[in-house]
This record gives sequence, C-alpha cells and structure tokens, in this order.
Amino acid sequence: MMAMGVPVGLALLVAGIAGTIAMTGWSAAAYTLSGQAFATASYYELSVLPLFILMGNLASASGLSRDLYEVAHRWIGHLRGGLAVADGAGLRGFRGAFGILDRLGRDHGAGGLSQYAPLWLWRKAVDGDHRGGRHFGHPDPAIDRLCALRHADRAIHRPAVHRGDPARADADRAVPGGHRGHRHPAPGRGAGHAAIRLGRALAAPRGGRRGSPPSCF
Amino acid sequence: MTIGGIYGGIFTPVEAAGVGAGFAFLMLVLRRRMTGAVISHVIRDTLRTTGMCFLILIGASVFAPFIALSGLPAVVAGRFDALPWGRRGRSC
Repeated sequence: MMAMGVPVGLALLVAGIAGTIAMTGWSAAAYTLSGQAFATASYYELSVLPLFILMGNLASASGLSRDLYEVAHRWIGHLRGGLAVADGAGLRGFRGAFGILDRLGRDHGAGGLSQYAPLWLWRKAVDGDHRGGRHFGHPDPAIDRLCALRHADRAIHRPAVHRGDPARADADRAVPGGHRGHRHPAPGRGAGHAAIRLGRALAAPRGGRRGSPPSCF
Repeated sequence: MTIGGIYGGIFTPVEAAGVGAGFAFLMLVLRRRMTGAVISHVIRDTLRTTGMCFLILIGASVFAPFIALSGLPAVVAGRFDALPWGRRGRSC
C-alpha cells in the first residue's frame, strides 16, 4: 500500500484492521481499533507533539526562524566556506576514527592533517598532483566535480607515485600493482572509471574536434 | 529556553513544550504579526501535522497486535536461530 502512495499511517491502520479481522473476527478488530486508538491519542507524554509543532509554527509565523538564520549568517556568513566548517568537523571526526585522512595529508608532504584546516586538506588533496595545474574552477560543474573526485581518488592511491622513496615503502606495498608507474591509467570497467569516461566525454569539445581534456584528466 | 529548562530540571518536557509555545505566541504578538490569517494558518498547519503524526502512531498501535497475533516475530526469530551462525549468532 505504501508503494502505491497510501499514507504510512493509513496503510498501517488498514493492514492491521484487515489482518485482525481475517484472523480473529470483527469484534476483536473493533475492540483493538477503538482501544488502541484511544489509548494512543490519550497518552500524556505524546501531548508534547502538538505543543512543539505549534511552537515551531508560531516561531515561523512570527519571523523568529528567519531572524535566527540571519543572525547566524551575519556571524559566520562572511567567512569563506562557511558550509565547509561543518564538513570540516565531520572530517576531523573521521580522521580520528580512521586515520586515513592523516595519511592523505602526509602523502602530499603536508606533515599531517593537523596543520591544516579541513578545507585546506581538500585543496591539498585535489591540487597536490605533480602537474600542479588548476583543477578546480572548470566552467562545467559536472567536470569540476569529477575533477575533484578523480583527484581525491588519486590522492588516496598516491603512494604508488612515490615509488622508491624508502619512507613510503609501506605505502607502496599497500597498493600492489595499483596505478604503479601510470599517472593516468586507462579507464577500466568499474563505476569510478565510468565516471572518468563520462568526464572525458563531457570534456570533449563539440563539433567532432578532438581536443585536450581538462587538466585534471 | 525549552532545552535549557528540560536539562536544568525546571520543566518537564510537556511543560517545556507549553512554555515554548506560549513564548512563541508572545513573540508573535510583540512583533505585531498576529492577524487572523496568520493564526488560522498556524492552527491549520499544526492540526495537519499533528494529525499525521497521530495517524501513524494509531496505525502502528493497531498494526503491532496484528503482527503479534500472526506469529511472525516468533517465526522470524526461529528462522534466525536456525541459521548456522554458531553460539554468538543466536538472536536470543
């Protein structure tokens, strides 16, 4: 029923009543419906629901919500990457949990993530390619996003690029055969490679002329 | 205020909800936005959302006895227990 678009509560109610009628008869179903419905609606602790909903609606109607947002926007809205601050908190949490991002920072000679704000980490991860070219800011947002994803992926596999460095020997072993010696591997069949192929197709100039792909590919 | 009141032990959650709604109403009055249309919209919106929530709760409270009557939880638990997951894989 829910798949057909029936509201969740109604679907549960109808299924429950129909099932109870089929199994025990009308009287038990009527008793269940009346008793349970009344018991649920008269549950004291549930009275917070309409009150909080009313409070939210009143706050919205009085403009409190908009003003609170304006205050927050004026406090931290002028900071560039205000949204990334929240992402950064998440990144730091994940770093503490998995440690992979710290390694990411070291692989780019950054000396660890702790020296950087999270936004810096991603700039470092994405801009850290040997070519050092411009990777963000492609006029096509799809390509720009693919660039970021592609380089984030490459940054994770980056130890293979530093082959021969004793300090990164363990990292080299961690990626056996992966991208070793190939800075730009040919796309395979995986989903990530499909994204790369899509990016290359999007990057190809129209009109049949074969041009160079964007710098990140 | 409501969260602080709850955590500070000043209000129960129900009281905090009432106080919050009261202060929100006060703000509506002080900001001179209390018109008939606004009040009507707020009440209708509140009733609609509350009705939806309670319909789900009532539906769940009717659906749960049916599931218990059908014996489905016991069957599912039995099937899980029968899986060869060893001692640590038992559901109960």
